[in-house]
Parts: sequence; structure tokens; C-alpha cells
Amino acid sequence: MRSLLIVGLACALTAPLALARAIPDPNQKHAPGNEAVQTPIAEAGYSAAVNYQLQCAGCHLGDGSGSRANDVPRMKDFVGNFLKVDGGREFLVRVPGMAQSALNDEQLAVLINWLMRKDGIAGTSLPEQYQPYTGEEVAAVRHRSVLNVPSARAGLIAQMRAKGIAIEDGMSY
Amino acid sequence: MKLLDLLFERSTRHVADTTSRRKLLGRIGSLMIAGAALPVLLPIDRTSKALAADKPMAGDPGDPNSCDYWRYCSVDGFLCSCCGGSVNACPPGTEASQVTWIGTCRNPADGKDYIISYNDCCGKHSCNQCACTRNDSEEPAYRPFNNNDVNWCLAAKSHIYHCTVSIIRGVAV
Repeated sequence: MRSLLIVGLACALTAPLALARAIPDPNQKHAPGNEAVQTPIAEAGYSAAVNYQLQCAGCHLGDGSGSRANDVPRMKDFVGNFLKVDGGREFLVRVPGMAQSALNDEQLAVLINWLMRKDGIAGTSLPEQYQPYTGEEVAAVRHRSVLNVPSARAGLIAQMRAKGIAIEDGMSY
Repeated sequence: MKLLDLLFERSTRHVADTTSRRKLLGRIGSLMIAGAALPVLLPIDRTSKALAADKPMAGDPGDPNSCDYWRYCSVDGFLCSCCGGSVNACPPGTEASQVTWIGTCRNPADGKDYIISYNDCCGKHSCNQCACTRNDSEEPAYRPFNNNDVNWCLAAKSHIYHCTVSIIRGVAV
């Protein structure tokens, strides 16, 4: 009796997982209108605003306000501060969300330039003199991964503090 | 027995003495008319009926309760439209996770790619209705921000997954 009960309980616990299986039904057809394989984002030629939505907005949210509960930093009115400290310009390309995105080097440069606008996500944090990124610059640093992201970031934040920049990145330290 | 007899005789005679058949017919008639008119006259919220997307529309073809609906081209989980919510609203008692992942699906009506956000609804046990797994714009797990096997309830107060909505955020151009 007890073993039956245990088997029953195990079945009840695993049923939802089995139903929401990770592998699609082999006989499943594509949704109507979606039969063709999608064009990879690097070749799709979307605008920077669309690329931001597809590659960044899921976590950083549409306006760049981020999510403190998930340690997603706030970019809105803050991200431009990275350009004011040593190593910050490189860090913005090498940070995993940027470096590992599906965008090609040129698209990534355009995307960062799109962020760095007075009326964009960088907003008030944009430095007076902004030198736009180029595809070559991105290509040169993108593939050197940051081995310890939190400590690299903390170093940059410490530099900002030393310069008297208010740390409003939404993170809890 | 005699007592019951007496009781019923008295009560029927009383009814027959104090009411008329014509009046009864008149009353029933007016009640029927008022009954038919009441649902039309009362201030009932009919917006839900007007917005219900149960019928295929020209610009948004397909049945949102079926995994074959075009917006579900990258969904992995249970469809909220089968769980007491709708294609873009969480069921009552669940919380939508703000942090999520975003992909694209092609609308067969106009052949355009739409930006779709697959937010999870969280806080109740698995809905277990309409399991649907499609991976058209999903990316491998080394790009977790574009992966649908992640439990996106990680950003909600409760991390218990209930179902997934598919919200249009714009046209991908």
C-alpha cells in the first residue's frame, strides 16, 4: 500500500514536468506562417531599437531601468558614467550581455551608440564629449572575456565614487 | 389527515377569493417582458465579450487556445489562454514576471515579423493545460537571455511557474 502511494505521489509530481517537456513533439508542425527558419539576428538588419528589445529589454526592461531583485543593473541615466572612468569604455563591450549577444560587431557598435544619447537610455549620464563606437573597436575587445565580472564592475564603480559620481545603478551593495 | 385537508381547503379558498386569474396573467406577462429587457438595460460590463479573441480576425488569425496560433512560435510551457487568463493577461491570482525573454514570430496575415515577449505568470502551481513547445526564435542555453527553458519566474515574488503569455511589443523592422 505504501509503495503504491509513493509511486502515485512520484507520478503526480513529475506529470507537470513531463507535460511541459523541453523537447518538442516530433510530429509537431511549425505554427502557420512560421514554417521558414528564422533569419539570425546578425543578418536580419533590424534597427538598433528592435535589437535592443530582442537582446537586452527582456532583463534590462524597455526603458533600461533594470531589475534590482535579479541583480540586473539599471542603465537608465547611469550607463554613460562607465565612459568617465578608466577601462569603462572597454567594459561596456566585454560585459557578457554585450559580448555574448547574437549581434555582430557592427550592430553592437550601433546599439551602444543608440544607448549613448541625451534622449536615450544613457540620458543625463552621457559625458560631454562622446566618441561613438565603431565595429572595429568592438571587434578588437569583444572576444577578450572578463573573467570576474562582479569584481571588474566593482572596480569601475569605486572609480566613479572617487570622482563623486552618484551611484544610481539600482544594485544593492 | 383531516387537519391537512382543512388547511389546504382554507388556503386555496383564500387565494381564490383574493386574486383574479386575469391579474395573474397580466403579472406573468409583464414579468416576462421585464425579464427579457433586464440584461439589455442593466449596466453590465460587456468589454470582455467585445475584446474576446475567440473568433479568428483578419489581422490576427488563429485560435489563441491552440498551440498552432502564430504568436506561440517560440513558447515553451502552458498557454495562459487555457488557464483562466488570455494570450496577453495572466490568470487571476498570478503575478507576471517583468524580467523575461523576447523573440519574434511571423504573422501569417501580413507576413511581418512581430516582437513577442514571453512573460511567465507565477505564484500558483503548474496550470497543466495546453502544453506547447515551439522554439523558432529561441537561442541555446549559453545565451540564457534568449532561452525559453529558463524559469522566468525568477523575477517574480513567487518562483512557482503557472503559465506563459505572448505579448506583442511591436513590429521588428
